[in-house]
Amino acid sequence: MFGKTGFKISGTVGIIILLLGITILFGSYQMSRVSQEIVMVSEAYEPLQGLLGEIKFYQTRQANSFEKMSADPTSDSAREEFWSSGVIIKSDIRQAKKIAETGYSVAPTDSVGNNFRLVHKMLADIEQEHNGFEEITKNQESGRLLPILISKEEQIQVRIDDALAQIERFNEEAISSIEEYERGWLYVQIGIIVIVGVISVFLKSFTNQINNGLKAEIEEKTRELQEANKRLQELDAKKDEFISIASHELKGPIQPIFGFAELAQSGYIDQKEAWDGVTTLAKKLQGLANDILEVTRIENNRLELRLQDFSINEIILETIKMQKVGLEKKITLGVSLGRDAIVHVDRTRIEQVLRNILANAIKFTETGAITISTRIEKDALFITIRDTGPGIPEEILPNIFDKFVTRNHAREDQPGNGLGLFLCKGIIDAHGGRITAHNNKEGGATFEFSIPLVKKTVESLANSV
Amino acid sequence: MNILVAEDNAFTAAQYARALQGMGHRVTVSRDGEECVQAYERAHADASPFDVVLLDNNMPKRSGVEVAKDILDKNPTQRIIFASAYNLNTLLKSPGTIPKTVEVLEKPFSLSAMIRTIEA
Repeated sequence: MFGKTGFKISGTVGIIILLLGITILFGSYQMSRVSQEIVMVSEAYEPLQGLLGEIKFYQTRQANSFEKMSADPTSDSAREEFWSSGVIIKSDIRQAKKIAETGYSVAPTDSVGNNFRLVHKMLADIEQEHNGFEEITKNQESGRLLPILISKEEQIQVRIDDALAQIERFNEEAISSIEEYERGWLYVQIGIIVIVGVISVFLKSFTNQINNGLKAEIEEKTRELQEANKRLQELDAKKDEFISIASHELKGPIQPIFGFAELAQSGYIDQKEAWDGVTTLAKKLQGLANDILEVTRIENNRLELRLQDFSINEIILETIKMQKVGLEKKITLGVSLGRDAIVHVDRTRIEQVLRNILANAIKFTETGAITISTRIEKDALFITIRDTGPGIPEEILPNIFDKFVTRNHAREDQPGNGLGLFLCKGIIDAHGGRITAHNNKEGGATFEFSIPLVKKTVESLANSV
Repeated sequence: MNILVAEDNAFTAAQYARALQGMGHRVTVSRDGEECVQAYERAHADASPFDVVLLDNNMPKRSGVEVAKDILDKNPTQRIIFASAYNLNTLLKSPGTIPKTVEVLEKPFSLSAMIRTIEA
């Protein structure tokens, strides 16, 4: 649980850091790209503007020198100026065209490429016009040519201004598109940061939730452990109590055994009485020791059953016959058996249960009747033993199937050692049945136990081996 | 001596009676705590009080400690001897602590040791 939660938290934190990192990376990449574009644009447009300015200047100068040449055909300086201006203009145009070509080839988008193409075309036009201008100047009839030249020169000036304006527009366009691009990216970055913030807020409530869950879980587990600990302590106390009572019960017959020996020695009683007494007490001790072992087996779920098929009616009749043999009281042992059924049981154990309950009934019933009846309900066989005795004291009835609950309610010379009904319950539970006890309204007690009739099939038996 | 015995084990009770009667004592046997208190009260009313009460602790209906308390409430000088498989420490811890004047015989003991203690 802790590992899983830690994984969730670190995973979410990791995602947030990753997103922030990506944002910063994109931001810096964009910045470098934008600055590169600015450099490229300024590298391309600015020299173009410079060159065009120069061309404009020299064009004017060439026209002026031509006027001077016309006024004074002998002036060498005017001729030289005319010629050098023409050379500079041509070279400037070539250079500008080259820049436009380069700009076209490295343009990042088609529209920027088209811009450069347009600039290139404009330059070509200017070149053509300039060539036309020089062509005209070759005719020496200057007096007539001057107005044409003036208009030609004006045309060139207009074209150059157009080109300059166009380039200025392109430059502005480029800068504004870069700005737009930058703004777009700014929005994306803001978006990512907002998303990361929202995730952080969610993470906070998420971890809070996890913490609360963990806290509740830890509290619950602590409570469970405390309960388990309490149960264990109770079990331990019960075990201690059982050992204490059992050892006390085992000590019980020792006093009268010594007593018999001493009385026989001193001649107060005869040898036979002493031996009979000792034998009875030894048998009692043996029975108690056996029962304590059985209790231990039941409590450790190690009760071994030798299951076989038997007729239940036969088992009951046999047990009653045995009980009738030693019966000294004037009680009737009645039988009201239902339809016979084959039960898959450990016969010795079931007889032990029947014997125990019958012996209890006989022990407490002075007059009247004890009745055993059977019935089949659904998938189980029910055996009921009813007596007309004093009933079970109310204070011990809820715990009647516990160990030693009858200890302070029965005399030591009465048969039984306080473990009989606990063993009965253990045996019936091991058979998959249920045992209950209640007092009858008209007096006396009733014990009832069930034995399941659903037989295990050969396959399930084989599987369980 | 007039002796009241409270013991729920039939064999042991009979043996106490046999041995004490053999020594010439008068013995009344009761089989549980309630019977014991009733026998004590009857004798008290008849003006034939018991010299010694021999009590088993582990008895049906009422324990030896409870019976001892009852008897000492009526007669604080009554001599009581506990005959119990519990040792003295366990007895003193059990509900309704018994006073130190009560003597204790720890089971198992020999009948002659019991007679010696009673006659002492």
